Amino acid sequence: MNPFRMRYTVYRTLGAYYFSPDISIDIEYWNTQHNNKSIDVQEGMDIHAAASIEIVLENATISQAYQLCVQKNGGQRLDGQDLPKDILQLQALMVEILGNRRLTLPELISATSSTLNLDDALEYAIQVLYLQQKINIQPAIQHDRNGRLYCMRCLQSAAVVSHDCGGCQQECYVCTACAAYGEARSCIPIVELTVQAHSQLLTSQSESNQSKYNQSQSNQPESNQLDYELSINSAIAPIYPHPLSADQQEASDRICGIVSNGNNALIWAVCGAGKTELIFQAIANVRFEAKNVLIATPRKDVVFELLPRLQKAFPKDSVHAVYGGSSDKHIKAGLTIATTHQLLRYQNRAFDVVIVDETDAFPYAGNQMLHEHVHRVGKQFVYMTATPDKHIFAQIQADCTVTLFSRYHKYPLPEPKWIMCSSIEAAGFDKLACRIKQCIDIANPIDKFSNSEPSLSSVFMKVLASVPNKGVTMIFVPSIAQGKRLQKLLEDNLSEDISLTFVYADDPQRIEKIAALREGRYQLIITTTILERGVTIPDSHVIVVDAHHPVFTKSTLIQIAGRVGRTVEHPDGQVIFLGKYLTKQIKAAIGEIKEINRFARRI
Amino acid sequence: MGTSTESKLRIQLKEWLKVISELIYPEPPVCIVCKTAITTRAHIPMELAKSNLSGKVCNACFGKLEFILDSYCTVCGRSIRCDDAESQFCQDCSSDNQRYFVSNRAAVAYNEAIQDIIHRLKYRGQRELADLLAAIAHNAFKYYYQDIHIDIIIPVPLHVDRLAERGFNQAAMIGNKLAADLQIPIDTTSLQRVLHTPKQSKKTRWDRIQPLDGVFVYRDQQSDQQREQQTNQLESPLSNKSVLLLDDIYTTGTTVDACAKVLKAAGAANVYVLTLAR
Repeated sequence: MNPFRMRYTVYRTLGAYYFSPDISIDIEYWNTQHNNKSIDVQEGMDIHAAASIEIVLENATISQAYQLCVQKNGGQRLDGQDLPKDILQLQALMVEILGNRRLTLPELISATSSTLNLDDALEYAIQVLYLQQKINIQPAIQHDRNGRLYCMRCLQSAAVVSHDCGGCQQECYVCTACAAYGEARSCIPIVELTVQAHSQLLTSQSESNQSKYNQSQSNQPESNQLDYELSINSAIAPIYPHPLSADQQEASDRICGIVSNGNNALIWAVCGAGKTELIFQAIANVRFEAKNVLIATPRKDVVFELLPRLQKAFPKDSVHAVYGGSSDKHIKAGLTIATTHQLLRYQNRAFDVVIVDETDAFPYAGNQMLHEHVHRVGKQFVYMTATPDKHIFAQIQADCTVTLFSRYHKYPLPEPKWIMCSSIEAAGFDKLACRIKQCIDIANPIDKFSNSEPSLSSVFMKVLASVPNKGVTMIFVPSIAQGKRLQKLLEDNLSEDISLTFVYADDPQRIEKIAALREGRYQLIITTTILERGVTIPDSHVIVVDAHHPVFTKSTLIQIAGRVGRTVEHPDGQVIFLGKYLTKQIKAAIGEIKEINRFARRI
Repeated sequence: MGTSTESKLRIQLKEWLKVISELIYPEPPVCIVCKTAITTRAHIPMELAKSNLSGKVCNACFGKLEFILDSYCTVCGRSIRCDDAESQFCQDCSSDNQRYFVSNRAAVAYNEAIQDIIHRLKYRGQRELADLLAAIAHNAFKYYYQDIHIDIIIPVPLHVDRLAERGFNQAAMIGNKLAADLQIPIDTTSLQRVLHTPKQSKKTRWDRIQPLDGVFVYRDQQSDQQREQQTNQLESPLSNKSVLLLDDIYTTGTTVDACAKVLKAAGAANVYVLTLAR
């Protein structure tokens, strides 16, 4: 049976409301609970209709009424021995897969069985789990307190529309915002483990891990499994790739202090200060207390970059990455690294400590939804950024901000130069002069004069000449169109042996080009803002074209400037901002970098 | 909980504000595909301005679609080079295989752009793209089948399981809009897919051209009352009717051919096929 066709109905018994796909299962359950006295069961409406009417049970709506009845009848469980073994196994598997996540029922079923097929055993196992109060089942679209429909998965209301549903054959609601993750309709249930089930899971797991640990101590086998709780028993000290500088050590100690007090922390560290290493000790301490940690980052690229570093730092701990397209998303690990989009599938307060990387970046900024999700899934937060804004400061208590303004190698941040450049292409007198120069000593000067291709403006040429030849020059452009224009201009006007390319977010060869960039195969690379963060290219210089464009905010410019001079061998480099006019953002960016350098010098 | 704590009043106020500001300073229309604003300053090619897509897509996205206009295979509608003026068949259709449909016509050639749009509608549930595809289908219909009298539109059905999973049939969505625009009745229930076949997109070419026997059936959905009203009770509702079969992508033609076979067996006179992409 296709799980999308399971029809849940709401029924009422013993003064409370329950959901069920098949009343007979529930009737059997209630009868065994009450020694076979026949219980009155009144069948009610379809699950998705429950989303649109308010069943008032002591001033609570249907989902809350359901929670109430869980509390009222708490503690009643079907004895383990009553169920056949295969059902028990199925249940254990489903609980393990569910973990600290919140999935739609079809997602859970397809993760449990390799075929998306719901046989009777599976349906029975799920419903009994529900009746045993180990899992919560709710319709994916519900009413909030004000009567608005919202989607339980992405928590948005604006995108919920009603549609003629091919699944339940009626008019029901669907959330078009998170449709990319799979259908979220009011006729599809969302499932998560209850608090009760979590604590049961933890005790049983630590018992089994204790025995596994004892066994491994005696046998000393080479185990590659992600043993979640095994790590508690080994004292964790992180392994640093290179020893921390005095500033870093001090910052790291302060962070550990703030985290252990249970407060949220803000780490304001400049680009290239070694932010990631600062949190290792704090992570180690938290893991020692058997709490789980999440590192949330905006982009997949950063996940790939962080995963091996964290695995090396915590070799005995379980480190797992979750991102769009990853397999085994259900593996529960002590340290999870995930893109923010994946957080839609996690429960509230699923993680004890959430480390939020690049707080100011896309997709948080302006994307309220993802911001909400990051905060929904954690209990305690550590924010990391090089360019904080005033909103962040408002959220942090006094004394909970740790700053690190000096780079690891102690050299100051390269200070950007501002040069006014009205256009990259030659125009006006410039163009005239260029053409005349080109036409001297040629066979057909008139022809060449009128037909020559656009050339570079003298300002731009001077800037290009001022940048040293060795190393990589990154040229940032505000838009893809501009980038393509510039690429053509440079290809036409520069000598053949300068290798150049253009990379942007939707570039199909993006990954290869960035890999080639790291290997030093390009001398010039034109890029949009995708390379503004996370990338470390030794011996690089940066030119920002059209820096007056609104896409270059102060944070963006500071991040771009931070690409330069990150390694000990090449601690300095040129950073040049070119633009038609000096905007507030450019001034503020240059000002802040100079201020940070001044501050770092005084220490 | 992630619910908003705004009061009902505040929500209403916000929405009124939106309506008023929309009147005073209307927002420019947005391209359905790439969500960028469509500015009237940029040069709009003549084809776009004249067609019913103006105001719905931006120039860039319009330019990426390869409309099939001039030379095409008379059987399957694929765009072919016109240097061979004699042959009006494409490579696939020149061999003598019998087709149960009269002809297939496609609005655009199957390239990355249209693939992306169709994928987003089918697999990511972005239902607003159906409007765009319906407009494209409408244009194609007017271009190719203007002179043909169509009695009924039938979209290629999904299996019940697949329909439950996706929540909607994209061909039916487009078909409904097309039927409303053209004032032609549409039937989404009689033609049914009774065998759950794996997705065509996951098969190799060889697998795809194996005939799909027994996959589709035509089940007369008329009520008894309607049946009694028919003059000749032996006739099916399709007798001597011209049917327009609608699908999103024509790859090998196996799917639409199987549907056409069933429809003809149920009494249809002619089956014309319209697909979005070839």
